[in-house]
Amino acid sequence: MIASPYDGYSRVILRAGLALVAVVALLTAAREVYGLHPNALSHPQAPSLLCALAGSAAGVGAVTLVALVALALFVRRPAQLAAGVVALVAIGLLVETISAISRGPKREFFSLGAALFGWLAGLAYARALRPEAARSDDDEALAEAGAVAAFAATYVNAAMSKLLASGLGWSDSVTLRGIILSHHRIDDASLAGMYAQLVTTHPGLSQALSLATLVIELGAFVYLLGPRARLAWGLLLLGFHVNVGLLAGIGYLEARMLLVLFSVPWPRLLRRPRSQPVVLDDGVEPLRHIEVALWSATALLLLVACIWASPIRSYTSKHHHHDASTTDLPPP
Amino acid sequence: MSVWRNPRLVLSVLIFGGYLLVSRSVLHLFPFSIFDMYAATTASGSRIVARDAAGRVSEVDRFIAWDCGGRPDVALRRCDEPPFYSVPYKDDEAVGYIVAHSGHSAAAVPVAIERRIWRLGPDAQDTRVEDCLVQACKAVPR
Repeated sequence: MIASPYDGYSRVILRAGLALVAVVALLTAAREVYGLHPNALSHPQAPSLLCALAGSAAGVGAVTLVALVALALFVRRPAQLAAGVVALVAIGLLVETISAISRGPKREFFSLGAALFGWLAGLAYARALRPEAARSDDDEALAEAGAVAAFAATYVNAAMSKLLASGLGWSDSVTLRGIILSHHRIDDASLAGMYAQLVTTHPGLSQALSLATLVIELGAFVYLLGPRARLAWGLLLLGFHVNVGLLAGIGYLEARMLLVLFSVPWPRLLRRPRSQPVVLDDGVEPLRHIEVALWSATALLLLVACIWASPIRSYTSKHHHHDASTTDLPPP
Repeated sequence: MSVWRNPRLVLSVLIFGGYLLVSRSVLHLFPFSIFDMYAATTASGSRIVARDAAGRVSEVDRFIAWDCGGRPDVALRRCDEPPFYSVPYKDDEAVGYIVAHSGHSAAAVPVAIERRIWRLGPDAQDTRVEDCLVQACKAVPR
C-alpha cells in the first residue's frame, strides 16, 4: 500500500482544494480566451469551434458557467466522476482555445489538468474495482493516488524533455543564464533583481541550479512514495518554483497551489477528526483487480495507438510554428 | 502483501506511466503535455529594452506616451546574425505595452527601442553584450 497523509481522514480538503485550483485556472483561462481573436500567430489549422469561442462573451460565459456548476457538484459530495469530467472538458476547451489562437499551449494550466485527470482516472478505477459499492470517501483514496501520480509525471516529463533534447548538457553554465536574462527585467533593483544578477554573473552557481532542476524534476516520482516523501519532495518542488519565480518571473500559480495542497498533511495540522479506517486496499479481490488493471492497460495502449493513427499529432506538432525560426534553438 | 491487493500502487504506476506515454504521443493536448518549453540549450539571451538620450537602458514600461509612428516591429530578422535566443511572449509583452501606451506629448523625448543580446560563454568574462536598434521613437519618462 502507498500511504497517504489522508488515510483515516476525509478527503474533502483535497477535493475542495482541487476544485479551488480548478476555479483559478478556469477564470484565468476564461479571461484570456475572452481577450483573444484569431490572428497571424494562430495555429494554421485552428478548429472553427475554438476560433468561434475566442473573444465570444456568450461562448466563454457559457463554458465558464458550466464548469463552475460542475465544480460545485464535484465538491458537494465525494467521488463525483461525471461532474469532474464535465469540468475537465470545459477547462480543456478554454485551454485548447488559448493554444490554438495565441502562440501555443500555456503550460501553467496543464498541471491542474493533469492532477484533475489523475483524480478522475482514480475514481473511475475505484468504480471499476467495486461497481456495487456506494460512492464514498474510500473511492477518493484512489482518486488522490491518481492525482498525485499524474501531477508528479508532469515534472518527470519536463526533465525527460530536457534530457532528450540536450542530454546532461542542459545543465551547462550558459543555458539558465540565457533564460534568466531573457525573462528578468533589466532594471530590477530589488532583491530578486540582485539575485538574478548574481546567478547570471556566476556560471558555477547557474550550473548548480540547472543540475538541481534536473534532479528535482526527474526525482519527482519520489512524490508517490508516502507522506514523508511527499512532504519532502513537495517542498523541493515548491522551492524550485519559488526560485524560478524569483529568477525568471515564471509563476505557475496552479502548480504551486497543488504542491501546497497535496504535500502538506493538512488533516493532522488542522486536527481534523479521524473518520473510519481506510480498508479499500485490503478489501480488493485480487482477481477482480487483475481484470481491471489489464483492461485499463489495454485502454491506455489503444488510446496511444489511436493518437498515432489519427492526425492529432500533426496538429499538436504545429504549435509554436511561428517561433521556430526566431531563436538559436533547434525547432521543437 | 500481494501487489494485486494494493490498488493504489498499481493505479499509481498505470497513471504515472500512462501520462508519460500519452503525452509523448500527443505532445500537447490538455491535460497532456511534455513540458518542453526550456528543453533546448542556448548560449545567448535577449530582451526588448528602451534607451534614452543619455544612454540609460531600462524596461519599456518606464515610459508612457510612446510615439513610434505605428506598431514597432521587433522581428528577429533585424538583429538575427548570428541567431540568438529570445522569448516570443516577452517580446509580445513589450510591444503590447508600447501599443497600449502610445500617444503624442509635447514632453516626449527621444527613446530608442533596442534588442539587447547577451552572447554567453562558459566564464562570466566571456559575456558579450550587443544592442541592436529596433526603432527610434519618442516617449515620456514616467
